[in-house]
Amino acid sequence: MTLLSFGVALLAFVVLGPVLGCFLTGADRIITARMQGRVGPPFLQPYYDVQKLLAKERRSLNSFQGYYLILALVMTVLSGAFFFAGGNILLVVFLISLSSLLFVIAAYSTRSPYAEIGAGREIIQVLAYEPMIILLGVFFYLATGSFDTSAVATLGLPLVALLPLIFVGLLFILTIKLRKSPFDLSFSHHAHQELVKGITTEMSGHNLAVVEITHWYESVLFLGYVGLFFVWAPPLTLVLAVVVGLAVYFLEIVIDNSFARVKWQYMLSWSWIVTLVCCALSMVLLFALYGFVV
Amino acid sequence: MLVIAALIIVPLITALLLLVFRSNRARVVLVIAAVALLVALAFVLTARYLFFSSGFAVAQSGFLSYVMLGIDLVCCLYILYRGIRATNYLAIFLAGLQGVLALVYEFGFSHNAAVSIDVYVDELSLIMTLIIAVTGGGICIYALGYMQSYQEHLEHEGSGLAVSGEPSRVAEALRLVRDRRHIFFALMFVFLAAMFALVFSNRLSWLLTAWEVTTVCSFALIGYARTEEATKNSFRAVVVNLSGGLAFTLALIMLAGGGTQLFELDKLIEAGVGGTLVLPLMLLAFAGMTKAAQMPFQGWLLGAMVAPTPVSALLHSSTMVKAGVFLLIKLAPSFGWNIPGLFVLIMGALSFLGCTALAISQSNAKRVLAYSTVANLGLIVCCAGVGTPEATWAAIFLLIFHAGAKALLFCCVGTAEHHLGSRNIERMDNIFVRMPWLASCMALGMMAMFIAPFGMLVSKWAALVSLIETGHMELLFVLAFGSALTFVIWAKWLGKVLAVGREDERISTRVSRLEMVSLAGMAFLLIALTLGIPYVSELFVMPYLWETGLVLQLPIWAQASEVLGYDNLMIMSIVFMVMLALLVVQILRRRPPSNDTVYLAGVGASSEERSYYNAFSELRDATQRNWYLEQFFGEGALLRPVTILLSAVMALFFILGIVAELMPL
Amino acid sequence: MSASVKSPWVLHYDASSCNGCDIEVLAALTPLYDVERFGIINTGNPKHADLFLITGSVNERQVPIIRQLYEQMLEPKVVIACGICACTGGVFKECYNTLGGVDVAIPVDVYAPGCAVRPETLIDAVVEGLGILEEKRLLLAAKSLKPAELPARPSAADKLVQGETVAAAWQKAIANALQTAGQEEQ
Repeated sequence: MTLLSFGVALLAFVVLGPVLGCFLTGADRIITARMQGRVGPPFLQPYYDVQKLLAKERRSLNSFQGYYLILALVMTVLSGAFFFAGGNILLVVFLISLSSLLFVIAAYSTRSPYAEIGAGREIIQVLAYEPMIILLGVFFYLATGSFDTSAVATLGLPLVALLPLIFVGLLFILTIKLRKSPFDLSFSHHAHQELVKGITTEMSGHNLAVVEITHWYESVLFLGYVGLFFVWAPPLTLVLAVVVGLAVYFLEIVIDNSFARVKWQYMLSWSWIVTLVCCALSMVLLFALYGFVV
Repeated sequence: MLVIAALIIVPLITALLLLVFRSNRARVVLVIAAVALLVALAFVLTARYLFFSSGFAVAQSGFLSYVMLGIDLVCCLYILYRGIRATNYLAIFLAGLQGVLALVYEFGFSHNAAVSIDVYVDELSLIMTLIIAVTGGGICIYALGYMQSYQEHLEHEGSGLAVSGEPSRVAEALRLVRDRRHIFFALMFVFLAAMFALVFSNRLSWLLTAWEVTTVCSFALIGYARTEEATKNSFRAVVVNLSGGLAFTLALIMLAGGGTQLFELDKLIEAGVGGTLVLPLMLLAFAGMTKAAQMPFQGWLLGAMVAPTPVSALLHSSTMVKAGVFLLIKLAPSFGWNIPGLFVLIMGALSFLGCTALAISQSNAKRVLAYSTVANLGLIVCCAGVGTPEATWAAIFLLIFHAGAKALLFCCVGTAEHHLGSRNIERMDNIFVRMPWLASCMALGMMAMFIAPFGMLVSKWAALVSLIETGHMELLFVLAFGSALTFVIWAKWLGKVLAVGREDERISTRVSRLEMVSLAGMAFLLIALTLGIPYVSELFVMPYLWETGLVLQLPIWAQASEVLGYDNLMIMSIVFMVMLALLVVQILRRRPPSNDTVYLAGVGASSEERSYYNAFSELRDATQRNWYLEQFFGEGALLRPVTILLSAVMALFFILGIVAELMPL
Repeated sequence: MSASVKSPWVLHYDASSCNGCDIEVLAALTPLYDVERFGIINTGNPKHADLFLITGSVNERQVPIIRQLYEQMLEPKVVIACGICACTGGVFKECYNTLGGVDVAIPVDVYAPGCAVRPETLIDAVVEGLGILEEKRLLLAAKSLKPAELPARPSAADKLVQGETVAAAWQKAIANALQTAGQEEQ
């Protein structure tokens, strides 16, 4: 990763990230509505929502909440830029967890009991998905010999062929990360009445708009993770990665609409079990099939 | 050489002066002057070493060995005396045995041995010196303010007791209340002197003496309060540490006897790299682990919290436990894929995972800090056990940042405790409104413990990379899950501390100026360290690895490159700058106070109190407790199985070690 | 039309309704009526909501609650009284424990009659409310104007004459006023 490639990626991600994220969310809402036998909102509805939120009165319980949320947005953008610039995958992971932490603190900072419940649940969500994300970075290194995401471009075959089970594990925790049922414990876009919308309870107006935009960036970044498994040496595979990313997003929407929210115990124990099993078996597979020795 | 001697002697003289001049004013002046002198000396030493000389080693001998032996014996006698008074047979036995063995070692082996280097300096001892002088000194200054309110508090309580009670209780109260702060501060400085001696000694018998002095100082400081609980816990600590000291002495005797004839640390490391030593290395590792309070010995460190907070801060950050990991890091080149290496690595890794999980279930702030200390030291121990230069880099970085962050955190918690009247994390709700600067320092310390872009995370990252490169796959799982657990511990506490509520309601609580100054100093240091991550690596850590490689003729060490790459370190530094810059913008951009209220289902009465009117129009408080997940991570669920597991692992390894010693392959 | 009108989020509060109107409010969210077509979302949180839908008559205990929820909503916001009880107190108007409609507690922007209110009426009321929401957004944007500079709200008669909505006419007037104010500053 050179400074130039980082600059280009940063610029591209800053501009394209929210556009793509907005489109994804818009499509999500229409598809969800159709699955429920409704017409659904316009495609650009998420954009209208954010624009409306930004036009609202500027008022919040304290000014620190805004600081934490802006910082969380900056960290998400930075990590996305590192990711798409071919930077260190662990760096991306650590910056994303900083972003999650800032989001949690933003909720805590208001001292709202509802927001604190959401924040507590968000922490449990991090506990559930963090091991898989870190181990994904580790396995990435084992398969490619480098921590840089750009290393996939030198591979002779896609990462998914080398690490199929890691991909499964990623899909499992992706449901948490994209805030989809059954793992949308801290807040979701659907179970609106539940605990007054969890972690975002006290975030209103422009603060809520920042949360929404951060979520757009995050969605794109995590679909990027999915795409990473389908890119290898030929440049055309980038198209395949996009297609697979979109397919996975559709799959997540289907899952979202087919499940009810589960209890945190269930989410935590299953995420950890899936992580352990997938990673342990991957280790065996990697060794048996490709005879990798460190 | 003069500087080194001064570093050891200055705190000793200070301790004596403190015993003589007992007035408060004199103490403040003395402590501040001594700390300033120590910090200056530490910097002079660093500057001389880094810029003028590539390392110096000085031979000294003769009567100093008698002095050192004498000190060691005095330590044993003191514990014997206290053990007899408290009729603690285990302590009496261990102290007696220790004294006898020390005599045997000195006169049976060591006294006439030819030792070429008694005292040495390298980058690691420089790092330790700076940590001891700066954080240790900072804690001493902090203690000036803290002990003042501690004593006032004690007298307040004592007068209550004296009024209420019968004669025996009055006597008890008077005994507890007596102002013994001069002893307290003297002990703190002796502790620092012992630590300085420890990091410079190359002659193993001197190292042992310094080791024993830290044991005794911690014993006396933990028991400072003189309550029943304090005495009990101080004996628990001394028993564990004496058994560690005993293992140390046994290792020395084994090294001196037999065919090896080793009396010096550098020769020991050299021999260790050759792979001929098994049991002595394991015994030394055992000693290191007891001092570093690794599981299953973590009990003594948790019990040590009965002492006044500066003692905890000192034990956890710059002294005592750091002595244990210092020894293990020194020995790191001899670890790796061998029995002692695997022993250290597995014990450390399991301690890390076990104590991180245990910390989640704690609501007592000091217990959380204690468990997290054991966990992080576990990681250091584990990295030392890996025995590669990359892992050692991670271990040293962990050591530096842990010292900085933990000193700050303990001092913050101590101050908070005095003002809130509780160590409970749940009570720290709203502390940001009452004491914004204290809460900010605390938040900084907490973030430094676990999140990007701070040093601890950078070191964890390096540990991860070095574990992958050495093929310790099982430990990658430990680290991945451990990191996630760490997030939970700190995130929920951080949330409580940073809860602002409505900021126009700020009520400042007055904090002692000495406490505030030292807290601000430590916070500033932490910020500077985080910004300077690349330079710390370049100036101190990498040269240490290279020099170790040169001395031991290990090409991997001599040619080690920055494990994370200089650019990634720079990125971390820049990310931190972004955070700081945005924070400055946030602070400068003052907005009019908001009149917004917290959503409480439309029946809220007051946002500050979080009260509401219930269905009977009665005023009620909405309370919200953090998650402690006791059914998963509680002491009841975890402590016993983990302790048994670790004891079994330890026993197994010692059996292996003895077998390997008896039947060399 | 601005985005405010395209994304009205709803807070639904039951003052002391018989639940007839509440069921109709929820019915409007079902696939049959599908108000999400207009970007409407039922939030359940005053901090997120733009429209305040209240059903049922108001009694002594409801007043502070309704006021608090109303205050916690960010401007611009619109209150819609759903059903005849919320409008006037309905059949409970003369009861010893009833104060009257929602307007005894907070200013109401749209009255949607009916017992129970029909989903069609509700949708009508919301659409009416959106016009008011837009006006309020303009007022918020025009906060920098001095009261004297603020153009008067066009009357409905003007609207008929000029063939445009009241909101659109007012928006133009306020935009003009803001522009002139900006020029004067320079």
